Amino acid sequence: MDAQRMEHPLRSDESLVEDARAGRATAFQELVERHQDRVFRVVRHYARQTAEVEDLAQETFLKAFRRLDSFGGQASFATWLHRIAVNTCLDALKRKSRNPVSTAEDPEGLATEARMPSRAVIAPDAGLEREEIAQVTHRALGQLPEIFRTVLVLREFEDLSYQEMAEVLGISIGTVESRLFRARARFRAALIELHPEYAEPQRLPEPRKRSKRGGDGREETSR
Amino acid sequence: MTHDPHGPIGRIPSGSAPGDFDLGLECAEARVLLPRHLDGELEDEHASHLRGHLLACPACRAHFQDQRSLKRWFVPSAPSAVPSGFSARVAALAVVGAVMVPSAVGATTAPTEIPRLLAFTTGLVAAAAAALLALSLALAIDSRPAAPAGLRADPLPEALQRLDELNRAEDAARREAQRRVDGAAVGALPAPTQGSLR
Repeated sequence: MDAQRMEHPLRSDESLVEDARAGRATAFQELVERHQDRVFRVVRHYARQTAEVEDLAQETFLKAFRRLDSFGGQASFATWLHRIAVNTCLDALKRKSRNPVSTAEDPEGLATEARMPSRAVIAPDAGLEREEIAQVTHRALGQLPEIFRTVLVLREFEDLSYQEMAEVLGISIGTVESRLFRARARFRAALIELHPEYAEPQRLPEPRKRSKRGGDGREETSR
Repeated sequence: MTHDPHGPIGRIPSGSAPGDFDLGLECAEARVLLPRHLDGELEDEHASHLRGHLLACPACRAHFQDQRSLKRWFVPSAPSAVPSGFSARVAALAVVGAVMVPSAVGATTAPTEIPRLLAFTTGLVAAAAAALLALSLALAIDSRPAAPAGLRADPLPEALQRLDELNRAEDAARREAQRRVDGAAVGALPAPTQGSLR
């Protein structure tokens, strides 16, 4: 790749896109080279198996190449590619019947959450290495149904806003919020089940005043 | 992103001041606002109400602390190792795919199927090669000429054959001598054959 790097010194992504549109493989290769680390990091959150990561990354770039004509430059190439990566992963999940959108995958959801202990978690120990924290989180996320894992990944790792999540998943903002709320409850329970040492000793206090709207146990809404 | 104030969390009462616990913001409402606040999705006015409530309400502060702790578990991990040659491979597949499947034609084979197509073709070629090899071996075995009888290897080495001949000759001579002794009742036995090894 060094030869290609030398061939495209300091060229902007947009300029490389122009060449790639014209069918220049080296230009597209340079784009892949520049963005492959980030794409691999994104798709890894959705892949349950390591072997899936490369397939998803490859599919992302091939899809991007086919859609280069639709890249208008309103967003950066990185943002545009990121969106393709997320959609590629979501499509792959759907193909594998691991639907990240439909609640049908989680028919016992609310009942399960009702049984969860209302224990608080503590923040990761300062002595834990970043990679150790990531592994604990990855394992806890692996316990969650796809619909909950997906919203947590989009929000916490991809830093998407509620609006962006709603658009990507094709659901309302209200549903995004309620799903995030339930996802966090599930994640908390999974984390404590896997690592009881990260639970606070005392239980989370109940609300002082009971809301007419039913408190924290929210149903999904269509806002 | 702007939230609809008439959404599922209900209308946030106006006129309440930060730090005033009983100015309308109930704990249940505060706990709905907490995630929005931590996700950076809460408008300033509501955030102000929430902060006031948190200052006065230890129970909601505990929830706030819990949710903040929970978010700290989501740290970006080290990037996955990208396989060597990935970019070159993907660029080649993309360009080859575009050439093989011109979009103007509207072919049904998408470029994303190229890797699968290549794998299938490779497998097909490998299977054909294996079948050809097996067939060649079978034909070679079948057409190999049978060895002529004269060329068949003798199980006994040549020295043993000579030894056997000498023994047979000695036995014949002994039988002949015995017959002469028996017939004439007189005469000396022939001297033993020098070559005998018995």
